[in-house]
Amino acid sequence: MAAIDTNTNQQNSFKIDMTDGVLVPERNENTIFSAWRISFVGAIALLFILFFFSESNLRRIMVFVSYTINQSVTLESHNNIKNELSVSTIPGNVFRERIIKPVRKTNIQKKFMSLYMYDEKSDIFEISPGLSEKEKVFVLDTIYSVYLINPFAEALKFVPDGIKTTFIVTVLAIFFASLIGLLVGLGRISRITFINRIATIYVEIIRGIPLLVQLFYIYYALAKIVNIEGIASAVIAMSVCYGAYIGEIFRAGIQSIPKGQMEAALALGMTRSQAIMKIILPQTFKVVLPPIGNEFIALLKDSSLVSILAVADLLRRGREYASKTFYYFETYTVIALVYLILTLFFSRVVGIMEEQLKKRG
Amino acid sequence: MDTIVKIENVIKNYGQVQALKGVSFDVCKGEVVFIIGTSGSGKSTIIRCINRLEHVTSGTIWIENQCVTSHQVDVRKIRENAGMVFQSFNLFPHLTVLHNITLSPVMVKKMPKEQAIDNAENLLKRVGLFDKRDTYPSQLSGGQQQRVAIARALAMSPKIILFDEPTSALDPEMTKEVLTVMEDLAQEGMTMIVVSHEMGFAKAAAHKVLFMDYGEIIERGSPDEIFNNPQHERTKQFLNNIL
Ligand SMILES: Nc1ncnc2c1ncn2[C@@H]1O[C@H](COP(=O)(O)OP(=O)(O)OP(=O)(O)O)[C@@H](O)[C@H]1O
Ligand SMILES: [Mg+2]
Repeated sequence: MAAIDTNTNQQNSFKIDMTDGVLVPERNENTIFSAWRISFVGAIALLFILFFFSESNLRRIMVFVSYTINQSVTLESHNNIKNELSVSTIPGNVFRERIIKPVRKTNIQKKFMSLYMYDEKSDIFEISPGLSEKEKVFVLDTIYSVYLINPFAEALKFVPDGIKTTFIVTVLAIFFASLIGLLVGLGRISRITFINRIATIYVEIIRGIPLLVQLFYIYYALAKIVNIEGIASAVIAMSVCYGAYIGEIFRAGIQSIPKGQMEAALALGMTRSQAIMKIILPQTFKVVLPPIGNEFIALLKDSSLVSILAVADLLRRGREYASKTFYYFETYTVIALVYLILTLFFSRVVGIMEEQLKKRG
Repeated sequence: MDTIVKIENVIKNYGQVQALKGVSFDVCKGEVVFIIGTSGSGKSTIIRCINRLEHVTSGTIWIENQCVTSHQVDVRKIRENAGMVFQSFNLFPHLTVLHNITLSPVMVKKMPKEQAIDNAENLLKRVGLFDKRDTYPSQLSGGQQQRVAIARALAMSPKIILFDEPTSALDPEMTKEVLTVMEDLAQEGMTMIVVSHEMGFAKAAAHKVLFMDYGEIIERGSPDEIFNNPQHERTKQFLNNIL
């Protein structure tokens, strides 16, 4: 997470340097072959290639057929497949598109055809009753292997859903963490000892406990008190944790505003709180926006930790998918690429934001 | 003449450091008082004690009938009466020139906004920067910034203005434009306490010059007395060094 550094005393430079998060692209590194472009375009291209050019359905079926012909199918080895498709009905359109058509092209058609029933009226596919366990497995396996046309492409199916959850968690968490951070930052510079201590203790405690442990702790502690759903408690846990780090950014930001600003405000008759609201904070926001943008990226990445709670984020959806299909490699390839694309994208957004701020002085 | 500021035996300690060792002087209405002295002699400290940016360790300061050093006093009332101009201008960089000037009257004095803007525009005309009303401080030269800062202090209609080395950060040209504004102010009868080493300006505008050394006023008198006929050895040394 963020380690922050203010160079308060170095000639009017109020930038807060970040030593973590994703590398925010530098303005002067804007050639076509900048590191950012290579990674970003590369990741997207790789996803495309995997999507369109990996194993075709036909080849998969052939492999499957030779496999079932030469070896007997054991029930145990396909239990998970049975689970997946234990609903023995599949919507007809899916059936036609994904199964009948590909199967027709192979020589298992005949054998396969005798094992299912297809009701055109209700457009429902059903496995024929009275099949032996082995035959059922065969049908299911066939369907399954055909159904999964391209493991990479299939792995991408859970992505939008997972991204949505990841996104909701990240955006809500960064919002609440910023609120908490603002309060903590103000508390850390407060002259009221009690408030100052509370804020400081909070920061010390949070920064001393690994995020993963905090997630577990808050999740199960919350579960003891109130009954809230996974996303909410994940957001609370992430906000509480990141609030401490963002609080430190706010504190550093406030302290990076030259002392003369507060003095000038006081000399004009403002109270300390008026000065903070009207003079110090507006300037602080400008200073802390880039590092908070960076925290946003760090949080986006750390949000993958909530997948261990019952939150169906990108990583968890992927894990569920992989454990059903055993496409571990494909799934995690896709997940890694998607995270990479997301973080690279947002690092660019943060970079642009930073430039805009610089331009406006 | 009426005494407007009365400073009696002010001592200020920063931990072990004794910044002021018993400073006393009076300022009359309409008077321009110059404070000169070596670096670290306590010039800024005494000026900052007057508007309570610093609190004295002991001693009393009065502005008219307000006791600045009392614990009960409303610090904000004091600061409304004693405006301050800083060496580093300290304009608010996120606000336009006009907004810099109107902010405090509207927020602190509850002045209606239109009146504050009117007022600010007049002040800007006075310091010759009316055309800069909508620009941001970073787009102004140092001299222009300092003139805005003076207008900002004037907007609170203070009874006195404290200047802490208002031209030290400026080159000669810009210094001149700021001094012109200050001279006008002095002419109009504004009470001013000025920490500055601009001898020419002191000779032209000051009524009284105080020479400070190691937290004490060791010589005081008219500009003519101090600059042309200093009595104290330290004063002579100092003047030799800076002239
Ligand atoms: N906040 C502070 N904490 C500790 N010591 C201080 C503080 N402010 C001033 N001092 C000390 O008090 C003494 C007087 O300082 P002051 O700023 O009043 O000097 P000055 O005459 O204004 O000097 P200069 O011409 O350099 O501005 C110095 O020795 C300084 O180190
Ligand atoms: Mg000083």
